[in-house]
Amino acid sequence: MGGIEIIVVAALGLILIMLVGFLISMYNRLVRLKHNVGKAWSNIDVLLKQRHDELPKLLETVKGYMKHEEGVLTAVTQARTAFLNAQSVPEQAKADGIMTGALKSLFAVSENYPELKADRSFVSFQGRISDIEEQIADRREFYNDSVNIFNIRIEQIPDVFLARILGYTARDLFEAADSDKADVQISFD
Amino acid sequence: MELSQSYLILAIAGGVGLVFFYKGFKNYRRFAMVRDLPRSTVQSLAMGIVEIHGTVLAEETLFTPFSSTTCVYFRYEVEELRKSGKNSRRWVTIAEGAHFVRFWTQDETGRALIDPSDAEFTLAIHREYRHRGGFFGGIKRFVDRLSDWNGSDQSVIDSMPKSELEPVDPAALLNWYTIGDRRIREYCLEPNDKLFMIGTAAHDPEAPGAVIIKKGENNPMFFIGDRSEQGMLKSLRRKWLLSYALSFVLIIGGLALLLHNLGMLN
Repeated sequence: MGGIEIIVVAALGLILIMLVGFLISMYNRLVRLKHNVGKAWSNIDVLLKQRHDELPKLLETVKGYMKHEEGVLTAVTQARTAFLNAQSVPEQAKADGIMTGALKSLFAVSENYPELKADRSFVSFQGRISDIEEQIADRREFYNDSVNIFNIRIEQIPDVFLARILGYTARDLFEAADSDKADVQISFD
Repeated sequence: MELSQSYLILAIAGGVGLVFFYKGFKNYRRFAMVRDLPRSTVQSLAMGIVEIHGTVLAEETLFTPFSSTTCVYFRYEVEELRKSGKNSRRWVTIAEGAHFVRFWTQDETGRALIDPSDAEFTLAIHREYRHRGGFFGGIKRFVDRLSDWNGSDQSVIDSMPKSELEPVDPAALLNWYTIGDRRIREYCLEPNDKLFMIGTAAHDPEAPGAVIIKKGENNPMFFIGDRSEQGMLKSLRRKWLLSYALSFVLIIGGLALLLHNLGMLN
């Protein structure tokens, strides 16, 4: 084999090694993105459960004061049930939207009850739930960013070919349904 | 050129080429991590690897040794320009050091404590100075004292021979140095600087319930920079492409030289 042929073979060999390395890192990257989405979802789920666990104590506190606000209290209870029954990401996003709306109503109506507003337990629950709501909002954005990065990556060349072989499909974003974005109607029973 | 020299050159070029290949691979992994990790807000940090954009807040500060700038981290390098071979020159590091203190990063949702131990800092040059003449007397004593300096003793900074150092614009395209000159570079992170970092959020063992960002046990990636995410991506992309290109050229170049000396390349 002449010198030029050796150079060409060596260059092709190096290119092949780099190509194999590139394919391996492409596979690893897709796996990492997939798990990032799972982890981001788990991190929202933790907060949703925290909020869910706070609710019975909150409802017990407000029941004594807001005896005539059956509609508002029932809405919170129903929202809690909807969360328990939600399975997929869109269902949980919908349940989260319903819960956020129900809690907004509850806190808005509580403004009419000065004794309730002065109750330390209520103030504490309200503060904790507000903090959790803010964190959920941030983590929802983070989750959606993770999903967006994953969805874009599996549709771009060259990752799209490997993604199809691995059976990766686009994930759902965590977004509220249009009906849940509408203004919350507050009724005073 | 003798054949044994060609083999040696191939071995060196191949070795250096492999080093550049490894660096290229490392920088590519870092590039992919920065690109694929969404930004976290301080308020809702989840434990594990996080990317944060914020500004520097300091409770405790240091002084940079040459420009006396208040900062939370600094690094300095003193290099000397020496002859290397017949017609070339190279910079040789004769002194270097770094100090840091814990600081906070703040974004629109809150602040988080940073422990920058073992962090890799990517910072723009803060100040550059040229020192001419011999390396003895005041400047040598000062640089020697810096090796034991804790970053806060003002008396050490006061002993710096300012008149011997000539400020140089680090952003200039060409700064002229002659053989025997010294180049002093200072890098620092000041309060209110913009910050981009990737590290691991964990529970602070010294403050139950609090979160600290530091180097992770399972994920060694921990870097702090004063550029934006886009600036960091641009820099990393350049590094890995250049590393792979250099690796290719060195390995193929070394092989070509050997084959030329074997008379196989005509």
